[in-house]
Amino acid sequence: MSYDKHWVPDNFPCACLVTASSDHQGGRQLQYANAYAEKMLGKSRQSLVGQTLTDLLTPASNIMFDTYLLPLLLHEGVCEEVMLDIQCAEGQVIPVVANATLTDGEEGYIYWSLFNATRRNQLDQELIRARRQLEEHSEKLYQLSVTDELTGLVNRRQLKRRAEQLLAQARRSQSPVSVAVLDIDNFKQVNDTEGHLAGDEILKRLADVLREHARASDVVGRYGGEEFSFVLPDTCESDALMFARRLHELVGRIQIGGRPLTISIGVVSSEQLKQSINSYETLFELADRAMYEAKESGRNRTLAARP
Amino acid sequence: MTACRDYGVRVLDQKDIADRNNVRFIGKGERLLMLAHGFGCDQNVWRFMTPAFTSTYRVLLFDYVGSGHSRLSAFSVDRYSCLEGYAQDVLDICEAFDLQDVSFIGHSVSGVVGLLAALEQPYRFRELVMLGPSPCYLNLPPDYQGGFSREDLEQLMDLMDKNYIGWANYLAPIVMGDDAPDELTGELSGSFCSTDPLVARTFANATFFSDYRHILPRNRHPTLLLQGRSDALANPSVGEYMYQNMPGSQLVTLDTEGHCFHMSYPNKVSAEVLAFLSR
Repeated sequence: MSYDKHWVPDNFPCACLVTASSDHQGGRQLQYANAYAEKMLGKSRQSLVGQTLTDLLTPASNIMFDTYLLPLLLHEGVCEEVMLDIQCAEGQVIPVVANATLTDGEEGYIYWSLFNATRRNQLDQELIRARRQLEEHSEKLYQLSVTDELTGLVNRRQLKRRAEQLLAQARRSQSPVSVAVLDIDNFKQVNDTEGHLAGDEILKRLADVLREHARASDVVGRYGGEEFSFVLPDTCESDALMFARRLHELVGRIQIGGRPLTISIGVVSSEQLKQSINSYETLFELADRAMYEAKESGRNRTLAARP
Repeated sequence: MTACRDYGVRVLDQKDIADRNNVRFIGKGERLLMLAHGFGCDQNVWRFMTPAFTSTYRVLLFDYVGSGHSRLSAFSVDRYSCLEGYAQDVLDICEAFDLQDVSFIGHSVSGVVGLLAALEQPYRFRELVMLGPSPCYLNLPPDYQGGFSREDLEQLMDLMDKNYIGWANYLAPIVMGDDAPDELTGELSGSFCSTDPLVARTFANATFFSDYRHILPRNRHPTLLLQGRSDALANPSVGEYMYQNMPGSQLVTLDTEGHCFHMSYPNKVSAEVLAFLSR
């Protein structure tokens, strides 16, 4: 096949540009623009040559150019399908897909082809919007799935999950974690005499006290019914007992039927166990058993588990 | 009852940090240069410049968590939402390798990252070199022209998103949740200029919407500010502002175009850096 004089860049339906290689003018200075580029940019070839690519890009596209496109081009010699916004005459902005190659040698040039991507851009915008909505929905659903509806504390599932994370961290840093399980004393009577709504109100007020008493790194959740649990990182048994003592005082400020609310607490510290078995399940079970012993020995007190 | 031990001391495992931040040492020499890449790419940006250093200096290269061949699972939005998180990467590396007297060379946002690290643990650093740095990319009239309006930078976030749509994992973090295994969410980590969309977005936010002008006067290390003559991300007035506000700094303006002058004009840049290091 012989060369045809019509096969010139001016006939290509995309903007073809050539810029000087990067060590001359930072890869920016325009040396050539085809007819399509003139039409798309609304500028004559004479005025384009000598301008820099930077002049043609929006500020956001200039950042993309400098932090992504050009480094990629210099490193790999080629880059494909980079979305940019071109600043045209009369303030119009046209989204384009840019491809570029870098030629070797002393007198290297960068060859650019820019394709009008107005419609693809609309689709992208829609996809971004959809993604953001999806993100928001998924965040909302996640929050619902980890929260106890009545008290706003984390639920049993999340309590277990967070506890396991804290225990894993603690094993690495070889620091102790304590677990406290607490249960309202005689809660059945409250429900029977005052009604379930009053019972719910007590649970909410207790949850507020627990939330306030927790340090930022602690996890506190509702295990179920009138049973709650704390996971206390960096806390040995003596600190956990101090924590529990203070909790009794604070909870006592809640009044039911003219009498202070009381709770029974069981605590256990991971130091009490061999590392291989100090899972949350084991710790919870031990603290739970200690809590029931506290109930049996008269309620309104804390007992430490003795595994 | 068990006595409480002091658990405050953190001991970093060298192998763990080396792997997390893809730490590499090249070159031979008494003194150590730590090269920190900026937003967008990874340690490979230095490959044009390192040949000028390796015969006389030991050079430490690394990737911030989330970039290059770092360990993507170590990324957390919380930690890396502000530049202090990136500075902690620098300090973690210094601690794990027990480094002192480091000459820190940071491109772009890593200039401020280096300053944050040097303010936190001054004894680890000998001097700072900042290539095309900026303490704030926003225009905050009337006194400061970072170069960009808030709207420009919001468009940048959109543009980044559009460029990441083509990537397989654009929707993956949402669809799979944050419990998704590394090998599914992390398949793109490892390419030179493309990072995970969430990582890139977080890094871009930390870089472009922050304002660290207030820390400049606290600088105590000899500092070279290298400024390109024409750089959209750090215009000459930004370099001048930093020079005026940073004690111990000197400003050199290079006749270069663009922000990646360490890649485009490696010889010009390394000559200035070497002159400063051996001053």
